[in-house]
Amino acid sequence: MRRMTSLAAVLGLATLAGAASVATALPAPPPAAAKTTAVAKIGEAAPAFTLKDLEGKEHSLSDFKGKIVVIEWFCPTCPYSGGKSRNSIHTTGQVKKLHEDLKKVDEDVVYLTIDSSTHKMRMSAEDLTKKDAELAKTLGIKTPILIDADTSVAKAYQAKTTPHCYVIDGEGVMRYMGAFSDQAETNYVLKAVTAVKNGETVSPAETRPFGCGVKVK
Amino acid sequence: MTPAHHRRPHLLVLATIFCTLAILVPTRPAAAQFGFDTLEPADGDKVVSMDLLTADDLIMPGATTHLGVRLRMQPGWHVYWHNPGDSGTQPRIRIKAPESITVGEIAWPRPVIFEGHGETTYGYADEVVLLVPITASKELSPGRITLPVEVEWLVCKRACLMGDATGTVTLTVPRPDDNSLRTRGNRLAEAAGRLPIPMATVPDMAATIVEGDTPDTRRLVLTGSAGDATRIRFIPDLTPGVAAGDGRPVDATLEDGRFRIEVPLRVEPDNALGKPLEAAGLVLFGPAATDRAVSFRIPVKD
Repeated sequence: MRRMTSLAAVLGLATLAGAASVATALPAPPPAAAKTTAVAKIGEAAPAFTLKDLEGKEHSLSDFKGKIVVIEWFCPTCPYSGGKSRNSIHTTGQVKKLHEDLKKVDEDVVYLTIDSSTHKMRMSAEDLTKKDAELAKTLGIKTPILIDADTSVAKAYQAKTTPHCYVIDGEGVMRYMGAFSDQAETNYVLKAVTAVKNGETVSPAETRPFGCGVKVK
Repeated sequence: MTPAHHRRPHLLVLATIFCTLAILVPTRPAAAQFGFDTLEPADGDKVVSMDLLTADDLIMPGATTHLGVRLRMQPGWHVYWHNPGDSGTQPRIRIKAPESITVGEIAWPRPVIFEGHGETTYGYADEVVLLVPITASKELSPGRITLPVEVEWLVCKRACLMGDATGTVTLTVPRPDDNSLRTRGNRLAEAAGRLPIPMATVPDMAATIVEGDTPDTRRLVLTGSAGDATRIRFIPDLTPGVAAGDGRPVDATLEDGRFRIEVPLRVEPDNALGKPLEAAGLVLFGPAATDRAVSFRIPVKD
């Protein structure tokens, strides 16, 4: 129970903590070797972004320097993502299980969910925010859901599917891009975070994601 | 008791109403009547119907037959190929077979290319029959075998839905002395005709890996006769650890009746998921599902 409370506190940090306070507490400078890229690439600096969550609070990737960051692309209606189906990673509890497992590896891991569905669902950012807020309540999603209204972050990360997952190390370097899992026993995100935490090579560093198309503008 | 002739007018009226309704009500599945917004994420069975086909209902000890899983999509919807492309996922088929039966890998018909909204995917519209080889052991006893089949698919238009269906297939294992049960033709012949042709069986066509100065400059080169095709394209299959181009289709250059396709290869053994490093894909001789396709799979050095 203590662990779960602790996880909630860590994950809640991403939602509740001010960007400045997190950055101040963890002043890890970007590595000299990592250059800023226009698009996400393994071994290079993850594209910077600033997006608002469902409560209108801004979150920047740079807020979380020094922490391992997991990003999961999300869609409220996709049957592999937030849509209710037996394959949904959210409605079947796979994401909650991942949160529990991640906490055992690294209590400070940050988990962000990004929704770029405005274009695909022909919805305004406001309407998508409302829809996600209702769903987050129903599904008990406690981690921040960030709205990528113009789909520019999806373009930068080359996010193809929901889910499409990324693991960024504490120095802001992209370490894993691809599927949530092998749709069987292996969770690639957990595997990648474990490798990063242990200072090991992430393998696989890239997998083919599965799910519904993100559809950028 | 009502005399029969008194009942006839009522039957006539009922028949007339039934026929009228039959004309007025669309014959397509109920899903066609759904507005897009009314479909739920797990309503994929409302836009796709599934049925099971067999070659001839027989299976001989020691022989292989095929089960056909037919998916019929509502207009505008599509399901996915083995390599779905930028998004999607392949249909899954689970067959609960006894130990005396071995279920093989799905044989995938040639897909078509869907391009739009910034993504390229590969799959099937309208109708597809996925063939699954089923091999009987030599010791299989005469009688009947019933195989439960579960099928699951992701079907997309602008949004995506998950669908599933179940069915059973019953195959007869004839006694050796029973000549009354013999092959009555192959109901899956048309579906088999949609399968890609292995490149090894096509004269004058080749897939080779051309080494560059560094491992990063290796290229996959496909060459052969263009026949009467005016547009020939390569699409990659799933090959963990080996990325052919950016995963999108690559157009051939056509000259003097021959085609040539060059695709840069990115080889990353750490991403191979324990599988052998290979380059694989299809050469499509036209855009339609009925156009010829040639398949290849060749090893790639670490």
